[in-house]
Order: sequence, then structure tokens, then C-alpha cells
Amino acid sequence: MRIEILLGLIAPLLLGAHIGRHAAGERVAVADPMLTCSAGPEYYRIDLVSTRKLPGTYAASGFVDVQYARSPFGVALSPTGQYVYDFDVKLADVKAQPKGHYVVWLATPTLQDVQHVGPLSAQFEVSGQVTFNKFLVVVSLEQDGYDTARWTGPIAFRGLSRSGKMHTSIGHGLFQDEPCVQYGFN
Amino acid sequence: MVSFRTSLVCSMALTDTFDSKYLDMPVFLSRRTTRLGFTLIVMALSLAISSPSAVAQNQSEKPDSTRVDHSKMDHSKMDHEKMDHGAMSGSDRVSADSADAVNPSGMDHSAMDHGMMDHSMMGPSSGGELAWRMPPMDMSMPMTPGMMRMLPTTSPFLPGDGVDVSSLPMAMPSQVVRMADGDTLQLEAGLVRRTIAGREYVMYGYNNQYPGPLIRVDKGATVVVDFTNRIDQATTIHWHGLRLDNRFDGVPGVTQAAVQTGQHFTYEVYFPDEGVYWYHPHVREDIQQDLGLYGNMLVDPLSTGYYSPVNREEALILDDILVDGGGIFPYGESQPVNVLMGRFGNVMLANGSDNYRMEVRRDDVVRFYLTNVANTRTFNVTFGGARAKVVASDVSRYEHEVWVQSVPIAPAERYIVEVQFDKPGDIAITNSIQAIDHFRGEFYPHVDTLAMVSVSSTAASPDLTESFSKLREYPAVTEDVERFRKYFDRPPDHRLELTLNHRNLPIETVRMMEIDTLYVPPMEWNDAMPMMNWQSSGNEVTWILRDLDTGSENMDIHWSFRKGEVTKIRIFNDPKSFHPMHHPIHVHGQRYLVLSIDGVPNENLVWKDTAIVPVGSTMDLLVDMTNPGEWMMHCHIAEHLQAGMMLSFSVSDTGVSDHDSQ
Ligand SMILES: [Cu+2]
Repeated sequence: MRIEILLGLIAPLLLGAHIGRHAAGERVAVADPMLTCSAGPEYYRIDLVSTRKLPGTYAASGFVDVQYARSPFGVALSPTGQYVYDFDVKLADVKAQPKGHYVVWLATPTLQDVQHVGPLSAQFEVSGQVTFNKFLVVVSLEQDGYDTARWTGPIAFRGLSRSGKMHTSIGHGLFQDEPCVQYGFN
Repeated sequence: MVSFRTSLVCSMALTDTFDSKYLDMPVFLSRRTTRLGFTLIVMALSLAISSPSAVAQNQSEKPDSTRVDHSKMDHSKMDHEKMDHGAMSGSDRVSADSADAVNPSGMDHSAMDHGMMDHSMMGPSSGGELAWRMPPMDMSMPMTPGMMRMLPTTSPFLPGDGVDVSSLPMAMPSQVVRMADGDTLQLEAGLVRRTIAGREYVMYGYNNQYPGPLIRVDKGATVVVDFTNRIDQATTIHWHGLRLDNRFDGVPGVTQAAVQTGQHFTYEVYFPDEGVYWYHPHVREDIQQDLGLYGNMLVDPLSTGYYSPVNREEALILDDILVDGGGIFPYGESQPVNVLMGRFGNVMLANGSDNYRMEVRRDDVVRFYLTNVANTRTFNVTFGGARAKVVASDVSRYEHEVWVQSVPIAPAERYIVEVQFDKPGDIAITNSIQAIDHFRGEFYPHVDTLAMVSVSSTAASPDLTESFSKLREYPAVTEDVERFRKYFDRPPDHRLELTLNHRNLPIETVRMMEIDTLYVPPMEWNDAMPMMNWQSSGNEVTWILRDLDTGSENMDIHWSFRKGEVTKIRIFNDPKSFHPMHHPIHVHGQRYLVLSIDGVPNENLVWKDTAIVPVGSTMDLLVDMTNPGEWMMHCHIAEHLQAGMMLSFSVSDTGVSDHDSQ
């Protein structure tokens, strides 16, 4: 694991900081030194891994922070029983491309359903909501007038929801120290 | 390890293509997988004798075509009644791990005649007494070979041992009992006959009713309940959610001695808050509550306009029960079984019926008072796409109403939901979930019908569409909550961790639990590992509330508060424990606010007494300690509670006059 990613993951824990959401719906950092036992959002955090296909992304790191969407029931569910998550995509140490912009997509593992989240902001951030059981996060480089149905440009980063790591015991090894790590899913 | 893996792979192959022809052709399978093939056949038999309707549902609701096709199985030769899975009751765990134990008869399974299968090899004869049999389960869930013949380390139990069933009264649907302040209700827990899905069972009931009588009172009333125990176990009644006099909280050994068979206890039940509540035993809930000992209490507001106008009201109690061809699946006698995930039923019940129907007119607005009394199942309740809004939960209304598309409701929670049925026809109230197949590492959609609503084409009168269309705000709730806002950001007074310990579990279970450690679902919506769950009793598993500040666990924890004190409790559900699972945490005799989940503040507050802590999450509760006495805080999954997951706290009468004195 790259040291900056490691630090990126550990730092919020060390600082006891976490991401909150205030009335207007935007994220606010809430410092709470007592929240050191929390796993929640961090536990469901998705690492974004650079494909190292594009200049300016080699040293980049990123993650998708996942929270339950607001719900009167605490746990947010769709009518068909999927969890409804709000998420924030954040990239660090990434350089803007001279042509085109980074666009975030979510897709089911078979790529049957693709959700257009939107372009990353100038701060390399974007937020959205997801109800897929398992999903891939794809950050692609798209040119102006890109097709919003699915990505067409090269993939710069990708990640996998934690639920996506629940895979068949047949296709992969049974235990977490088996191939998953080699696939880049830490 | 290699053979373990091999057997999993082969079982998969078998599952993929399970067809009667394979029963005769296991030649390509290894010795070990032959064994597995056999165990799968036993599972098939077991499933065949389980509830036909449940099986049919499983078939139709699974989109995955690679699952076992039950319809292809030839059941004609099977003599289910002859099956004796066992009689290995008692304290010895019997393992089938050695090759000899696997096939002691030297039976050639390649040419099995199922009608003549000798299941006595699975254990000594039961001599006609109650014996464990395989739990009804989803056919597509393969098991590791060694697990198939393990039995729980506690004896099986069913009520009514030696009772002539025909002598028992036939239970009747629940009746509403309107009670005024000072009124007395005679309430008796007894054995009853119940018919569920066309079969007759011996169950328990309050006043021979299912659910028990619905007690309807005005806020502020106190009623007397003269209780008599006529079931074959000691029992008590807990008045869930009520901030009543501690002496009547119904916790054996804490607030009263358990009421023995034939004995009486007089409860004075006080109703300080509006809303929907429920009563149930606080002794072996996994058995007594599951068998029908539960009822609602509806506390009406004193003021008009507290709720919006509706065309009708419906108290709907949701439950499930586990049955197979042999009847109600046995419970653990000295300890609960299914302690890992709790006991999931395979027949869904609404107000005790597997075929609950209600009739409304087009555009009727119905106020549902929903209560989940299941041992462990959390429902995701849908209303066929009809417009629905949530108005209130356990102990109060929300600050403001919210449109909802479904209502996730954990055991012991209540929600008050208003629904307008605007399309004539039959509408199914369903439980719609994404179940998990751990073996395949897949989610799959699953839908169970809980009740049917028949919507006539006659128009509602009065037409309440206009008032229903508005989401109301409840400033009274906000004002009430306002007094507590100054405590919201303070550090927690107590920190709890939710986890478990295990000992002497079958090695296969321990191994299997290491699978898929990369992802643990936030909630368990289905029993994804019925065998392991069943084989895990209270002898092997202890569920734990751990005080992170003192290290104390469960009943070694004893917190002290003063009346009027406001306390913040932070609960962390450890995702790295041996078997992480969500827990609905219940506090007796007080009310609390869920301030935040994972640091995200809750901006539509409601007073609760039970709330779900998902796996991996941290939940902050603010408890309003208004009610003096010795109280419990516990997980409301019946088997978790029975397996230790509870603590006690006291609230002294020397009150805090003002919250500022904290
Ligand atoms: Cu629990």
C-alpha cells in the first residue's frame, strides 16, 4: 500500500475527525476525539486505486466515503431492500489533464447498470447516492460532450464497494489474505 | 484444507445441476463429495418436508437460474414421516467428521432408495420422544460435510408435552379491549391450538387470542392486569416501551419473581406516552413470544389533532414462525438454539395469520400501527407502491413527517405509518429485502407477502387526500427535544461495544465463519447459514455488551443514574468480531433519542426505546432518565438476549431538579 494512501486512511482515525453532514446537506468535518472506536464510515470506505494509465495520476490517491443516506429509520433502505448510501469521492495529489476532465461513474460488477455521478470539481471531489448492492467506482477521463450513459474515455482510477468483496468462495480464495490483495483491493 | 476446498467446489457443481439423475450417478465425485452429495440429499428431504408454501416462495423469488430446481426432484419415493434425524439430544455434541461416522452402515449411496433410507444411522432411536431434526432451510445453501450431523448441545423443546391437543381451545383472532383508568383486565397465558398455513399447532396465547388482546387506553391511564400463568413454563409480562412503575416491568429476578405455572401476578400498567406499545414475556422470549405471547397496547392522545384524520386504523403485528412437516421446529430446552443469528421463521405472520387480509375503499387513508415481534427478523415493509408517510415511532411522533417507500422495522420497534391506497385491486404488503447467499457471495432479491389489502372501487368517505398530501410538522416534539439539545455535543458518559464470545463451536462452523471476512453486511435480513446458526446454542455463544471504559460485560455492568439525569451512551458494533450482526438495542422504562449514526447527526428526532445498531456503526443515544428503579438495557433479538446480551442500570429517586446541574 502506498504510504500516502495509508496515511490518508489512518490520519482521520488518529485525529478522531470524521465527516458529518449538516442541515444544508453538505459535508462538514466534525472533530470528536471520543469517536476513536468508530468503524462505521471508515469501515465502509472504498479505496480508489490509480490505473497508472494517465500522467498526473501516478502518485494520486483517493477514496469514496460511504454513509447511510438520511432516513427516519437510521438505516436507509430502498423499497427493494438495497442500502441507500450517500457517498463522497475525493482524490488527492492528482493533476488535472490538459484536455478533458475526470468523471465519476458507478457500475454493477457485470457492468449491466452504470450510474453517471458527474465530473470531479476543481478540488477533485464529487458526491452522490447509490443503491447498488455491489458496485465498482470508475473515474474516467472524458472529453466535452461525453456520453452520460457510460464511460468512453480511459479509466484513471477504480475502486470496489466493500460489498463487492463478498465474492463466491469458488471463484476466489476463501480468506481475505488470499488474492484480493493482489487485485489491489486492500 | 485442500479437501475442504474441493468439497466446496464439488458441492457447487452439484448444486448447479442438481437433478434426480445425479442421485444415481455420483461416480465422478470423490469419496468426500459423495458424502456431501448424500448430505445434500438429506437436505433435500428435509426441505421437502418443510412448509410447501415457503418452498414455493423460495423458488419463485430467486432469479438465479443456477439455484436448485425443486420441481425437478422426484419426491414420490420419499417417505418423510419415516425420517428420524436424530435423537442425539443431550449435552454431547456428535461429530460426523471421521470417515467411519460418515457411513457406518456402509451404505452405497449410488443406488439409494430414498423411501428406504436408513436415517437411524444418524443417531440412536428417539423412542418416540421429541428429537432434533434438520432445520428447514434454503436448498441452495450447501454445507460442509462435517456439519450435517452435528446437533445442538441442548435438548429439543416444544410446548404441550403430554397434552391432548384436542382438549386445547382453538385460538381466536385478537380483540380490542377498551380500558379506562382504574379498569382491570384478567389476562391468562395458556396453551392453545392454532392453525397456520392449513396445519394445526400447539402454541401459546393470551386469553386464547392471537395476538393477545389489544389494550386501548387514553394517555395517562393506569390499568390493572390480573395475570395468571397457565403455560408449561414460568413467565412474566414486560410492558414494552412504557415508562411505568418499575415494580411492574416484568423482569424476573430484577423486578419480580417469575410467575410459575398456575400462579398469579397483578400488574399496574401506566401509560404516560401516546403511541403503540406491546407486551410480551421476559422469560425465554425465544420460545414464549415466538409461540404467540404478544399483544399491542394503543395509547390514544388526549387532544384532537394529535394525528391527522384517517379513514381507518390498523394495528399490524409482524412476526414469523419456523415450521416444517413435523410441526413447529423445536426450540432449545435449557438454552436457545440459533444463537448466532437468532431464529428466522419460514412462514410470515401478520397479526398471527399467514393469510391476513384487510379491506379498504379507494383513496382510504389508513393509519398503520406497526410492531415487529419476530425473534430476529427485521422487515422492510412495503405497501405496493401506495403513498406512505411515517408519523411516529416507539415513544413519540417525529419532529416532522417524512414520505417513505418502505419501513425497515427491527424486532420490538414500532412505526406509525399513514398510507393512502389510491388504486382499486389487491395490494400486497410485503417484506422486500436483498437476502445474502454467503456461499455464492451474492445478494438476491427476496419478497414475502405479509398481508393483503383489498382496495374496492368505492370512493373513500370522507376524502382525506388533501390533508394526507401535506407533511405535518410537530413543534411539540421539537420543543420537547429542545430541552435536551445542550447535551447533544457532550462526550459520551458511557461507551459500549457489541461483540460476542464463543467456545466449543464445531470446527467447521469456526472455519466457515472465516469466509468472507472482507465484507460483513450491515444487517442480516435472512438466515444465510441455517445449520451453523441452529448448531450454535447458548452453551457455545455469549453475546456481549462491553463497557469500553471499565471492561465489564453484560450483567457485570451496573450503571447508576439519578432521576432527571440525561446520559449519552455511545454504542459501537464491532465489525471484526467472530460473527458481526446488527442489534436492536432496547432500554427499559426510559426513552431515548438517536442523536447520530457514524457521526452524522439525526435531524428529525423521535423518542425511541429500541433502535438498530448496524454492523460497523457507532450510534449515540441520549437517554432521558425519568423513571426510578432497576432497569435493563439489552438486545431485542430473543436469542441474543438469552445468550447474555443485557446489562442493568438503576435510576435513583433522588432526582436532579434541573438538567443544568449535570
Ligand atoms: Cu443482538
